[in-house]
Amino acid sequence: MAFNKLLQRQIKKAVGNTDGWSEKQLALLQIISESYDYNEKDRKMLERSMDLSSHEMIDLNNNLRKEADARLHNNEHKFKSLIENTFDAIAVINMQSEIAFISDSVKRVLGFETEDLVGKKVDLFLHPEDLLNISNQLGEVISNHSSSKMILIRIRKNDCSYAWCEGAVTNLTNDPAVGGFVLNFRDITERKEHEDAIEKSLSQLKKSNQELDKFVYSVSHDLRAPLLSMLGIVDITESSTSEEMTVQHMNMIRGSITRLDSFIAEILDYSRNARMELKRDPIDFRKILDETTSDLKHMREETKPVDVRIEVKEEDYFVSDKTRIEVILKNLISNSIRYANPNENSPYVNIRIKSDSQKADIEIEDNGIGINEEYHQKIFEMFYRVSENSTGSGLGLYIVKETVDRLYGTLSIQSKTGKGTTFNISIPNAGKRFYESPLLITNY
Amino acid sequence: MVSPLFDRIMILDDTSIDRYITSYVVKQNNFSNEIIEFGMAAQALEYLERHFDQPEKLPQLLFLDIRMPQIDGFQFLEKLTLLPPVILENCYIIVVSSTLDPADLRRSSENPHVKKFLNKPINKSHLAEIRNELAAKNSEPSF
Repeated sequence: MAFNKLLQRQIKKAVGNTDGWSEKQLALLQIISESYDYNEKDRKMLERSMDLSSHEMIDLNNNLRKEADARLHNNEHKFKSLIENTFDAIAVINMQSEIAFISDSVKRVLGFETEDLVGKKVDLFLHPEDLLNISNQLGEVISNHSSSKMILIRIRKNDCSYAWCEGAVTNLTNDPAVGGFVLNFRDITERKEHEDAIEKSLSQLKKSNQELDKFVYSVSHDLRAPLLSMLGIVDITESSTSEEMTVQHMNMIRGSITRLDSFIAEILDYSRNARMELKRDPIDFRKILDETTSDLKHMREETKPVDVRIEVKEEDYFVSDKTRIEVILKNLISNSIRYANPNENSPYVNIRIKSDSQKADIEIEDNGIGINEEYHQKIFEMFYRVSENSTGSGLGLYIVKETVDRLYGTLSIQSKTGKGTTFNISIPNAGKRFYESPLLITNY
Repeated sequence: MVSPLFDRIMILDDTSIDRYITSYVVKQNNFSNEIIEFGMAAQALEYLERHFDQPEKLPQLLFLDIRMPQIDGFQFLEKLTLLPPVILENCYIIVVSSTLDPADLRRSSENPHVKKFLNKPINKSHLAEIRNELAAKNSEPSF
């Protein structure tokens, strides 16, 4: 009978042999031996399976490593072929700020050969004024891993001129396939020069516009100044005489001076409307009307007093160009006063304004001398005057029409000789247009 | 006849005819006892600097033109702030101009020393306006 080998060794060591053991004792040993065998088999199986799995793991590990290497290699390959084939010039800058790699397109953009660049410090090829900016940008991409920053820098070319380059710098220092900063860029010198030229001509235009503005105001001032001196002398002459004829003559001179002066003001209004960009101001109609009518007060004193009635309903904020709104109202109201009917016992002008989110409707109605229907189209023409009694310059309504057009508004007239005139004007609310359609406002 | 509203006013304007008009209207309306006229800002500054410690020489009101050669009205005001403050403190400054430039009006209203803007030419009703405003501001004028 053969027991399990381990058990045999243990018996031999403990008791020498089993001679003289009883049947029962031997039977027990046999059972023990079987359980030894069993355990041994179990352990062997476990060992074998462990052995097997560790083999598998090593294999797997090896496979993975191989795959990773292949992938890395593949990535490097892909990366290189990508940067070699892209239109953008690409350079890799290592952590020592040396140029580690350049794409073929770099040669095309800058005119250098690979050996001129690779291994050199990148600073050598950057414009000194840009260095601080670049190191700031790099600092940002370093502190913020794998982020990318847009850059606009000057890079030195082989011919020692600088090319304006636009592109991005990306931090791939953690990527083993790259291990540096990737700088991709394209030469935009031509575009930049165009842009600079446009900017320059824009600022020149702005400057010449400002100069023209200054010129227009200076000229109008210099034209007015002697007129107003004359007006002053007329005033003091009149106030220091009791001679009726002199007073009458002074009044005639004053009338002529005033006409010439308002003509200058109208030319100024015209040039302003034609030239000045549209502005967007909050419009307070009551305030504008108060100012306009108080400006016209002295004019009313000279003719028959005209009752100016104002009715304003503002349902929403109204936005438009304040100066232009003032020009429109001033011209129309002064016309109503100037052309009041001398046969009318109670001459009036009714100003009704209703504004909402869409538009402002302006109605200016008078019971003045009126305009014959046949002239309704012509009165808006430049320098058109209805009769020899017109004391205006023939510019007023032309300016009104031009200004309303400029504000994208509409204008209509109803008038009958001897009955009176009504102007209806509608001006869009530039505030609402802006919020509803920002594109529309680009015209604004 | 009521006594003049001011003891002394100053007119600073490069146009002599406008100085003539203003001073004529001032005299005619018994607006001020004495009128100091200057055609150049530099002369006015020199006068004010020389007399800053003599209150009986300083103007209580100034009619100031804007557009003048060399030093214009606004530059004059700037230079005035560099002189002893007593000059500005006791002077009611009124800008008088024939400008149509809104920028001139804006600059006048933004200047803390400018109390009023008047369009040329100065006339009787302008002076009445000033009189009323000063009366409303101070029921007992200290002038």
